[in-house]
Amino acid sequence: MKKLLLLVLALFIGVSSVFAQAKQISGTVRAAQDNSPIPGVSVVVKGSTLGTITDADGKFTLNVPANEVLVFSFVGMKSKEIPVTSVSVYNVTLESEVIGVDEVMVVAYGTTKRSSFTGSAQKVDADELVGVTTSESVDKMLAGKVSGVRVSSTTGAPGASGEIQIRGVGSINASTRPLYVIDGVPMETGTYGYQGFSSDILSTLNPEDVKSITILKDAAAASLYGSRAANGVVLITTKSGEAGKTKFTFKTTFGASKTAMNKVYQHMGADQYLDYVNDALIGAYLYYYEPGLYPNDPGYNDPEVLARAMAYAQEDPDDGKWGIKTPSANTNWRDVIYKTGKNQDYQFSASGGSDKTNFYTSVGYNQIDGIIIGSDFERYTGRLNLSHKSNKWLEFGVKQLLSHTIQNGFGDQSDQEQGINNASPLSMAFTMNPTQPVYNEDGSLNQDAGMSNVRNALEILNPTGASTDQTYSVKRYRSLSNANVNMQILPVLSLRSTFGLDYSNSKTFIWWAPESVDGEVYNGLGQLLTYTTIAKNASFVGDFKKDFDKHNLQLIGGYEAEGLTYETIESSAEKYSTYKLPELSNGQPLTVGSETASSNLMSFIGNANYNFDNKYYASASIRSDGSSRLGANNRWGTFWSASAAWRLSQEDFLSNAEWMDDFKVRASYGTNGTLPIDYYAHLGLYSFSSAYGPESAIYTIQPDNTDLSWEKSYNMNFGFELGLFSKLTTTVEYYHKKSKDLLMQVPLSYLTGFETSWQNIGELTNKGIEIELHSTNISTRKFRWDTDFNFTTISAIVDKLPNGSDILSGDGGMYLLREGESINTFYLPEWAGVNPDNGMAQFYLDPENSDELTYYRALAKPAIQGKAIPDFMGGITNSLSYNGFELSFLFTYQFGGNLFDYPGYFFHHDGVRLGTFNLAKEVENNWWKQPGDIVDNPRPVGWNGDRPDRWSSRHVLSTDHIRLKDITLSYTLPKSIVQKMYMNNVRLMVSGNNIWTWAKEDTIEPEVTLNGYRTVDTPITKNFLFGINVEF
Amino acid sequence: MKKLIFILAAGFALLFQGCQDFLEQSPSDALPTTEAITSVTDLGYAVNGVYTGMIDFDLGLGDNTEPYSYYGGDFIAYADLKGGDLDFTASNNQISPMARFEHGAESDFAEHFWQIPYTLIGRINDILSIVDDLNVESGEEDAYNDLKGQLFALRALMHFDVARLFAKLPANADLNAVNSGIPIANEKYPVDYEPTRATLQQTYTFIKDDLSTALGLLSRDENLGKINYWATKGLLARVHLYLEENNDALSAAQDVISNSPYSLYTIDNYLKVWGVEGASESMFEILTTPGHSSQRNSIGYYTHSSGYGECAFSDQGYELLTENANDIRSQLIEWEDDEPEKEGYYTQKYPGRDGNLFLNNPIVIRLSEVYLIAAEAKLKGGTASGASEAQWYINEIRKNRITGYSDVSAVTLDDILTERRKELVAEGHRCWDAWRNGKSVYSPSLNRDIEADFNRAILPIPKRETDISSALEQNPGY
Repeated sequence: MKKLLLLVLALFIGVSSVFAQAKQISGTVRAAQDNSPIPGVSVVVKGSTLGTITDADGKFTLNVPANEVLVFSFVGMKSKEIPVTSVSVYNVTLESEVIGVDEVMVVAYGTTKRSSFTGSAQKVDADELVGVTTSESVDKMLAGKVSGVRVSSTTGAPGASGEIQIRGVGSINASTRPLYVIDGVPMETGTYGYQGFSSDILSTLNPEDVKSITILKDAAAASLYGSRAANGVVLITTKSGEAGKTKFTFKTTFGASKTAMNKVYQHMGADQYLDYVNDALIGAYLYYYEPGLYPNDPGYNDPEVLARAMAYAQEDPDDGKWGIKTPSANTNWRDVIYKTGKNQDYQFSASGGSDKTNFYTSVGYNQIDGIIIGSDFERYTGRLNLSHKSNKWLEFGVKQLLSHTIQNGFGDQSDQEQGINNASPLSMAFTMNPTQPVYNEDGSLNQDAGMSNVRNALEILNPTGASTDQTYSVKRYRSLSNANVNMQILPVLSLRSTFGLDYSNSKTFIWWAPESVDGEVYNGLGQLLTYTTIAKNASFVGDFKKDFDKHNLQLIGGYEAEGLTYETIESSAEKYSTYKLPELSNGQPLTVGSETASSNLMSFIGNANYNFDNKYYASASIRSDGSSRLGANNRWGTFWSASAAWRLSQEDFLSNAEWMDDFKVRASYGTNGTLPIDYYAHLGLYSFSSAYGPESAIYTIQPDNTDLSWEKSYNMNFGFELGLFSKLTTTVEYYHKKSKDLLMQVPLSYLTGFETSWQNIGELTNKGIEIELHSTNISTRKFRWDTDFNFTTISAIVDKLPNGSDILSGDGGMYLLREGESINTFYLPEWAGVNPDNGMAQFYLDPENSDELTYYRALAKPAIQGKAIPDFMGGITNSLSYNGFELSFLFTYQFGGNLFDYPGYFFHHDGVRLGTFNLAKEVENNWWKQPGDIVDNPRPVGWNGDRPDRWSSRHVLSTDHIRLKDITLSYTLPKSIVQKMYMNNVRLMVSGNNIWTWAKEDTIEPEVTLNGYRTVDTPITKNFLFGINVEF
Repeated sequence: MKKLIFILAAGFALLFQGCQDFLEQSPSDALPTTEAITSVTDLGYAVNGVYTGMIDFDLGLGDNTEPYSYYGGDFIAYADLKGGDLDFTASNNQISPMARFEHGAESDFAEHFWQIPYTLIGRINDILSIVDDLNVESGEEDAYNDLKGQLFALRALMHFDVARLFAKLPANADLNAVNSGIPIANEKYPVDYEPTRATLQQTYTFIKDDLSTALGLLSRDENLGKINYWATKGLLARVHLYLEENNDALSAAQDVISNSPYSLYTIDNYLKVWGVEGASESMFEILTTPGHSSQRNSIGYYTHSSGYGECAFSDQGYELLTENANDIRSQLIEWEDDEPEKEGYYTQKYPGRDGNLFLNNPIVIRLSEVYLIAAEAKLKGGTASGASEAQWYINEIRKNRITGYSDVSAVTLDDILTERRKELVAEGHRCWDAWRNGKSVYSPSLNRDIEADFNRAILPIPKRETDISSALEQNPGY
């Protein structure tokens, strides 16, 4: 350690510089394309920090020593070098760069040029994210944009979590989320919902503040983040100001939303429902009174028995006994529950600066009314990004976000726990009786509409401060602070420190009013849950850059420390004396508890990048992480990567190939890690919460594991980048990611005193091919057509499990972990359809070994029934522009995956839930009525004890789909008109997302979390938007 | 400039200090073992952590709903359901499968009857691993020794329970046969520990040794909810009886009868002592509280029609208990029909405190049993100083149960076993009492007599354990 310090000191002190005599020069920089002046071009004396940037009119003045070379550079333009001669005026034109070849990218602990980058990373600029502004969180905007990245919305409720995965699934039990780093500081992310109410803190960021997002995929790109990088890294860079005139922008959008797919969650109409109930009662008679359903039953095919069954079904149909009431309406409860949502968004920002100071500031307000009345999301944000150059070598800045979000909604079940909550909106669409009206004739709410204990869906979904309200709300406050200092100590050496403080406080309040469905037993229940997370981060990085002839070298070394504290307070009250005042003080105290957890990380990093003549590139990185979450024996881990690239297009033998703009091949190998989710999994622990008689009781609850270590991933990446004819760029990559030492709960002999312990045992392999294409199909002065295409294959195979034994997980063991099989494989009895002769459900008795059928699901052995992970997925974007009009549309696609339709299990109940649940619309005219019927749904049997409805391959459905994720048409007003209005830019736009979907199974929403579990949840929405963006 | 660099360098150096502390974090609601128990008071709480697991086994997951129990219900009901004097009415399959001898190696019953005692033994061994290093202040030695004694006594009791559940009874087997006993857990094990079975001889020797160690440490004072010297001595008598070591059984039982502070229930109070804490015969009972009980898997919930109704009297049990109308024990039975499908005759030994069926302190050992042990040991030829004839112990019990009882001058083994059935019904003894004496029990569910050598007279070793330890031999027939 001391050696390193000495080295750093030596570097700091060892060199000094002398500047030669200077003279003043000036000039204007213009774009070659249209000869317009370019503001913000960097004009620097080569090999020094001496320089300036052009002003709003593209002009610059600079004092330079003689015989130096000036470098003009600007993002998206080819840099130009001009030697300083005796001339004092330099007018320079810059040519546009072929897109994608040499943009500046934010990468781990710094920036780089794309051409010299040896890893796998992809940058998405803010302007590529336009049109999707309703996205309340940044992650959802990435859908379909980047190869290897899978984004899914878990529910359509506003403010709910999204899910993002980079290159498959890196873990079985630890996190599969990527690390988010915002402006150089790792950021806390995650779901802080409760009782199935999905809520994500990423939604506290204002997507409008984002300048660019870089996704780091392979080890070369991500290994510098070490123990948290195995699931990839998402680098978010927020906007900053540029020198020149202050720029103001105002942007507003309005929109409306509906469920994305019309056929999803439609229920049976009243007539069909009554018919179905009648058949189910016949079935019930033949099951319970005179068995006649199965071939071996005495009453099978006996017309007299059937006649008695039919008579039974007609008995007292409206005494309420079977949940059947006198039909008085044909209500579509889905339409009662799911309405048209509305959203609005206002953004105001100002940015600008001088050559010393620049700033970006914004305020934003976003408001979404969900498709369920009473579910909404509001966000207030304010941001200030400020940087100041106090002298030649010192620059510092602060970036501050303040954000407040309010999310209201209902108790869906996004947490994948078993059961269906009667009070959840989706459940109510099916527990309301379709034969019953919403309102009575006198206009009052029909209190007899429900088949469960919910009397009427609107009693719950229309929170009005009534005694039957059942509401969930999350209020969140977040402050994200970032302070940084950059010291250019020597021309070749800079020092950067960044400090981050991320404070987030979430208050969840759950209110079940005294007469509500779930609150009745408590006489009112209020629950207040406060989660506070505080993340502190400090990093110090030294950056040494030196070019020797054709050798270009960059060295980075640094230190980083991070502390994370997580505090919870949970309290609740019951027995409310009034429904009008939900605050806890108005009830009797029920429970109270608090907890604090903390986790620290300390790291040393090093990175070397070398290239020779911009032809041969080599790069290596190393990071050593110490984490408090790990056992004392394995607390420190070292992660590294090595990578190389060869830009063939720079070689002499190809430099004459005009048609080839760029050709680079690259390869990388390296390691990353994942920390345990549990902060204290390595400690042997005693619990203090128990009692024995009147005294306290303590006992051991967890064995210690001083060897507990990270999950490690070994990443290999090969790829090439090719640019042709100034029109086409393509990147093709192959990755192979072997994850080892996965944390598994290993069963222990009970003689140890414990049931399981976390051990580093499992292994997984993810591999795939990623293809990205960007093509400029047509480019004329007025018309331009670009296409972006990406394609990704995914495979995530389990290689090793404890003792090699299968592990069943999930509800009823429906997921199988087996060596050699994909992760998230469904393991269920196999549905063999409906027997046309008698209408009974059939299952394969032992699908892996025979074709024999059985009527009884309980006898059917489970077998592999597909996997949730898709085989391939991607997106294609087309952008067309003509004379100020721009049309862009993005299709996303996914094939080869499956989902488990948990809500569908309730909505295809085959009579088992007779009198409590309606059925899905697709059952209409699609159930067995008489011998010979070829149908999908069996003969309904009321309260059938044989449970043909229980989970089987019948509930495993394909998620194959193509979706018009985003379509945006915009018009930018001509400059001539705009300038008369004293503005710089006016843009109008209309856009829609999710507005068209083709799905192999069109009765279920195919976008689902990667484990394929369709929850009992609000379906995702399609949105239509109108917006205007004004710059002045 | 140079100043700045100096400051930065100094800052760096400071940052590297305290690396170790920075990476040592511990939770706010739990402590590492070494910090959890640092005083005799802590030790007391840790011993409580063993007791509470006998009644409310939740592994500290904050979830009280695990549907299985040990002394709270399942273990108490087991021997009576297998013994056939209790039987289920309705079956929620909570404990009733025991009456049908339904338990495979992958069944929850086999697992939980193994899991709970061994987990609690694990807790004991964890405490014992640090107990000798504990700082004992002067004046605390007696309390310290008593607590340590409780740990040994409980460890013996739990091994004895596991041995009765998972191994043949000593009277029915070759004590020295390989793998005839159960795994002995007498130290803190690493997580990769793979247990193997001891012989029955080793198993019972270990049990007796632990009981003897405990007797040397335990207090003789009454201590509600805790095991004391007398309860341990009574258990030792029971173990000796199972081993047919009649002299030792009689001598231990006689010590309890002569010297302990407990007294037999009487005809007058017999109907009132149930559902009461610390009744006069109770030598060791486990405390239940509203927050810590076995809830729906408690013996009170099993033995009432308003609960699961899975432990009603069988016909034979009802007939036996009611054959003598002068016997006060015949009045501790009621016809219950809170729910029609669960109607039947139920014992009233577990009425629940404060109207809560979950709150019945299960009795591990009480004085009547010690009298019955003494009688049986004496009848089988045991000798011990101060001991009476076998019929004396039986007469003492009957005098306190039967109105107008006249002493008998001799008893047979069947008399004693019948007396055990009447006195100890629904307290977890019946099948073992019959089998260890080479007798069969009649199972109304299976409608046949069950001998001790029926393979399902004992439970299978849970498959998860034999998966973990391939050397752990399964019981025959599973």
